Amino acid sequence: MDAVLQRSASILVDVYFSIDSRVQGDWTITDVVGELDLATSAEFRAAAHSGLADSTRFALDLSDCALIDSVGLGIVVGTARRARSAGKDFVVVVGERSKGFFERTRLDEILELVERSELDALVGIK
Amino acid sequence: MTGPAELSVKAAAESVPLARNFVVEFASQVDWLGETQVERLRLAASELITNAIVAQLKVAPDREIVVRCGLSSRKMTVRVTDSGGGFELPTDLNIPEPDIDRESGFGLAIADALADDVSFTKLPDGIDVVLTMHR
Repeated sequence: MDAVLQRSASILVDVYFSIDSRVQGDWTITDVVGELDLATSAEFRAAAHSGLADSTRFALDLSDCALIDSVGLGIVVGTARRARSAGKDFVVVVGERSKGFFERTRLDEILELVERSELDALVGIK
Repeated sequence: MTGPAELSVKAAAESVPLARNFVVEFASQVDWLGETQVERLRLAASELITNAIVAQLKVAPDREIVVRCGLSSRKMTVRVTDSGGGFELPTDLNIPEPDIDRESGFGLAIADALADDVSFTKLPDGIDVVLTMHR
């Protein structure tokens, strides 16, 4: 019974979705919290494209994403392609859970995935 | 024993989390499904629901997608039915080679990789997909 209640609670939490961008040094970092799917794709795509356009070094922090489906993954790949064309640095920040979405599709082989501590090192936070 | 459950949603992007949570809530009541299996089911169902909605939006956006959850002693099934018309049944469900130029086309492969079984049936006006998780 406890397990059922716990899962129900996580369903409620997962509905929450937010995107915020910040600048640290020469990096623009866009933090995404929630579920990346068709419902949130338009907002996510717009944020990823503008974040990349506004910077020379761009990080998408997806470490707090509870779900990233094929629509969300496609937008990340598209952002990577745009970054490459523009000669910009682009990294994807993942956590233990969100990393699995990339590994399952082997996209970890073509994207630069980093953990949050690695991003901190990149942007110069001690 | 949990009885069958059915949800009809409009063919719209915002229906994806609604339908996904419906499946997860059903799965959460199945005592033999572990947390890992429920997580797999969550993403697999999301992919199938998204696929159905995208297909339906192209052909008959005013019609609804139907999601049905069923349970027997040996398996749980999720049936997603759309009226998306001329969609061809997929023949290759392997995860494609990672490619920076590929932004789409791996949703069904993800669903197939996560579920114990995914089967497709062509209907007169759409597709019926059944995802199965075995006990």
